[in-house]
Amino acid sequence: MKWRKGAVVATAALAAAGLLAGCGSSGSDSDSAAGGKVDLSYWLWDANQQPGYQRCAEAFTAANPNISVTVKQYGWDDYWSSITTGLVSGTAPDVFTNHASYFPTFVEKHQIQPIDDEVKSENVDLAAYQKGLPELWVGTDGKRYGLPKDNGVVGLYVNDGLLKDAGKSAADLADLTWNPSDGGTFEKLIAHLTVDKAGKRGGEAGFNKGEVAVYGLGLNGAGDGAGESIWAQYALSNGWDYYSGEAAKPHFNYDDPKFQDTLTWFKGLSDKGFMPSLKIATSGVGMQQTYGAGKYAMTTDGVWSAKSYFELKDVKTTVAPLPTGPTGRQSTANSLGDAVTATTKHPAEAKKLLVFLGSKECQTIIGQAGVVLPAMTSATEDAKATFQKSGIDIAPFLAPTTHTTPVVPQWADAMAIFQPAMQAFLNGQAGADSFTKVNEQINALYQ
Amino acid sequence: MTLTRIRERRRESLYAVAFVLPATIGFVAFYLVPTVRGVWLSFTDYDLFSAGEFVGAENYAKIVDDHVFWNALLVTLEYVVVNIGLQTAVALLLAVLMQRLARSVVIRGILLVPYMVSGVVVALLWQWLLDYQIGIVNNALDFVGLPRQSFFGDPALAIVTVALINVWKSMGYTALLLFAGLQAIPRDVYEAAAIDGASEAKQFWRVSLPLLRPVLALVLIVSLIGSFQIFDTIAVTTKGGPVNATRVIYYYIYDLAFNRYDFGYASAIALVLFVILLGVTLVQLRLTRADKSDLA
Repeated sequence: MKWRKGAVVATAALAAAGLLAGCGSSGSDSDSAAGGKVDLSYWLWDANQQPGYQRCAEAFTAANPNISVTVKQYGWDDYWSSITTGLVSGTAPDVFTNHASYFPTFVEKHQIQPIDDEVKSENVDLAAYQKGLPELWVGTDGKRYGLPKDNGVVGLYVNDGLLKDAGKSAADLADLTWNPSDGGTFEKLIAHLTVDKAGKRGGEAGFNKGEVAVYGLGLNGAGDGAGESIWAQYALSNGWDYYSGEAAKPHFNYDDPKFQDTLTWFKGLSDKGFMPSLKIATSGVGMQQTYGAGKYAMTTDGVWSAKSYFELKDVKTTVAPLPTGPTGRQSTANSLGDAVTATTKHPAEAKKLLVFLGSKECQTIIGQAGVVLPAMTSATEDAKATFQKSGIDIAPFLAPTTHTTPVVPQWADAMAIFQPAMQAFLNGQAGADSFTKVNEQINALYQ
Repeated sequence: MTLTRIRERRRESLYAVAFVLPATIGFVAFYLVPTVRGVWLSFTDYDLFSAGEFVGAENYAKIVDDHVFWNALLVTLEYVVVNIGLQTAVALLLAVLMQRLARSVVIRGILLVPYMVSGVVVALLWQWLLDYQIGIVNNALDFVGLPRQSFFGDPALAIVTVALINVWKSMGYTALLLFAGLQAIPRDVYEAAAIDGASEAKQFWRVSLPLLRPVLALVLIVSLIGSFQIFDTIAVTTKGGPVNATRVIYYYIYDLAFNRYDFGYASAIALVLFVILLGVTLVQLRLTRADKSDLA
């Protein structure tokens, strides 16, 4: 009988140990102190950008032999909950790729560390980055938490085959104009590229908007309050801006007629059958897959997606600049930046890594990887050349004047108000004037 | 009682404790402690990053005026009714077919396949199949002359679509449980019914269904609680939209806690849901007399 008792005790002990082990395991704080060597963990969500940053990490270790870096990638959907729970449980990485929409909250909750001292001691030249991007990573407390890494601007992706079928060429895309009343030559092109099941083009007599085979312009959901790559480029080129006042206490402008007129025009594209309705666009797979199946002649999308578009097997793509609106050619600009977690055991090394990932050396590597446009102006040429090698001309992305997307506190709460309202508007359940009330509710958050 | 028997008893209970201990540790660590902590958090403004402060019943007062919460409750109920109603009916039919017709283990096995696939994969699969423009289902509708449907994008269809996807996923498993219940009904009852001239349909209504009641009740309770917890399909396909048409209660709790860091309020809603589920289960147990069998 004795052995049995032993087995029982062993089982119970194992079970208890398992519980403890489950609570104690950790991804970041490896026993790095031994021998003065430090191992940093670095997380990012974009698998396309991983090879570039892996090379940057290697270059960093080459320059700092006692610091190694483990790069890990998680898909966007798991990324933020992993970061959040990691920060609470102490398993967060030392450095991670941050997004502007999450940044203010992390600052507010003291979960990331300022890097002002390193920026000063390493003589980081903020003027070397594209205009406006370095300011994205300054918190509402006036401290700097990150450096910009890429230049996320928007352009027009056009299905080459469908363009030729419509009797148009790339030359017809260079100087498109737009206005909120009749949509200008841009809307004429969208209409012309739309084809119904019977082969009639949008705008032709007998065009059946209920049975569209190819939409002139794709729709990538309702988006959030930044409207990045969806409606923002039109509203901005109509002289509108997201908010007035300071980022710490913004007064949003969703009640501005310039915004509401733009949205009325935008939804009008769906009503005329030139762009799918929100119901159609969000019922199933995403915009890029639908474009890849030849159902959209054009889409507006970020330069960060260029690789995905040009890798599509059945579609040949041409890139064109966004149309010029009443106040010029405008695009949103966004940039990822890194952040050092409050929980890191090696803050000095982590900040050193962060500064390196935003440095000219890493920016050049990122430029040569040809996945995104680097944030540093001098590395842009490298990126251009690499993209060109894969047959992608990225010059059109650089044509517009840029506006950075809003980086404000309580963005998630504001979006919980904005997003259902935008979906209701695009579904025809509310008019554009409904945003006046939405605007009041959002601004009340900052009172 | 002799001394040896007492000793034996004592040893036996020692073994019993040793065997129950691992499960108890698990229960305490992963259920009891989080539950008690959740109750406490629901009275605080905990935001995950800093220790919350006690705010009294403020979170509960907020629930009363939160129209998104009430809508979420309604949407969840809609989901549960369609999901459980259809799932139970289809599973019952499948179970009877399995018992009376399909003796093949392969066919019985195939019915279980959707249940084995992870919820996220199932959601992705149907997202492609049901896509408005390039999905095979809509192309088939179009081919036979029926209008295309925006299964996920139409506020009127979205929650029903999600419910049907989960009927498809779980019906095999439910059918298997019911099938096991049917197998436990003695043959002679059917034979007696047949001698009395009862048709197949009559045998089902008068013999199978009443004798299956305890199993059916158990299946209903278990699947009902699971149904209230719908999350994965929605997180993959609709993310709560269009507008709030698929913002079920679990998705709302998740959104509040992990996107908006409003853990205190999210805990309060979770607790309200807990109380609702407890009530539903008690009523169900009463109504279905799950602890009593008619086979006596």
